[in-house]
Amino acid sequence: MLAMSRNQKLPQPGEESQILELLVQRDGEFQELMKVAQEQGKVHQEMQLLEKEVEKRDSDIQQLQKQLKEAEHILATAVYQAKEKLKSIEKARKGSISSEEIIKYAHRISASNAVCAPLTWVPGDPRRPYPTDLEMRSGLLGQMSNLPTNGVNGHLPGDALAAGRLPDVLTPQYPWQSSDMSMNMLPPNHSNDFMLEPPGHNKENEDDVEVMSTDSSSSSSDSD
Amino acid sequence: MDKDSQDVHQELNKLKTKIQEAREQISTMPGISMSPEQQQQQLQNVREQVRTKNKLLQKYRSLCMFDIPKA
Repeated sequence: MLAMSRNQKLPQPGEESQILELLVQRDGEFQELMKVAQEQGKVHQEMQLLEKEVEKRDSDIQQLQKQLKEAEHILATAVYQAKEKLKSIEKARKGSISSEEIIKYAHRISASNAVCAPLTWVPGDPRRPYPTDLEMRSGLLGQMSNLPTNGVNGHLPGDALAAGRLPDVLTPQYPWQSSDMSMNMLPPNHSNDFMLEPPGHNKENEDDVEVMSTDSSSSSSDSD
Repeated sequence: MDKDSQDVHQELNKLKTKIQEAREQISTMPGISMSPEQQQQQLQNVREQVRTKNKLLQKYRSLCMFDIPKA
């Protein structure tokens, strides 16, 4: 029995060579496939390099896109501000006011101690800072609230007239003031009293102007 | 005869072991998950992507956005 089983397991004389040929053939095929696999490995490496390149380009494009967005935002803001300025310019052209008149008016306000009391002010001094009650009534707010024009109470305009400065402030007509309004706001019995000498010619007022200029310059520097 | 048979078995076992090792190594080889044709196609696609993105970048970089029209 043992001899029989061994005989069955043993290959036939021609079978060994066939198996060897098959093995050699398989080995040849395997070698060929290995060459192909190596080629594919090289291609895979190249693809990985290209994919890295693609990722780099993507990040570049995204960076560029971000910069373009920022530039667009900045330009849009600049265009908006420019349009706003053009609107302001157009508005200013329509209601143009001479800068000299504004400076003149500012000097007049300064002459009446607009920002603070003069250095020589003592209790009992009738001079009051700008704006006085009468000036407030002659402004747009006073017009809107329809404050009574006559029967002005308090120290104005009597105190202001006593100081000799208020009429000078109100006397000139500026383009931004409607003439009828300013005239209507004035007490009728004082209309002639306003024709006083301008304070700019007064030595004392010149000193006041200097004081006020100093104050205003210091305040403007503080605001900066 | 028995000695020859033992040698043959031993050699066959060595061969089997080597074949198994080769299988394991092949499974770790990169780039063989697809056929060579598919791989070439994918390679062409990736090359095309790189070319397109390069062109786009060149276009953006050479773009002059502040051309002032001549009156």
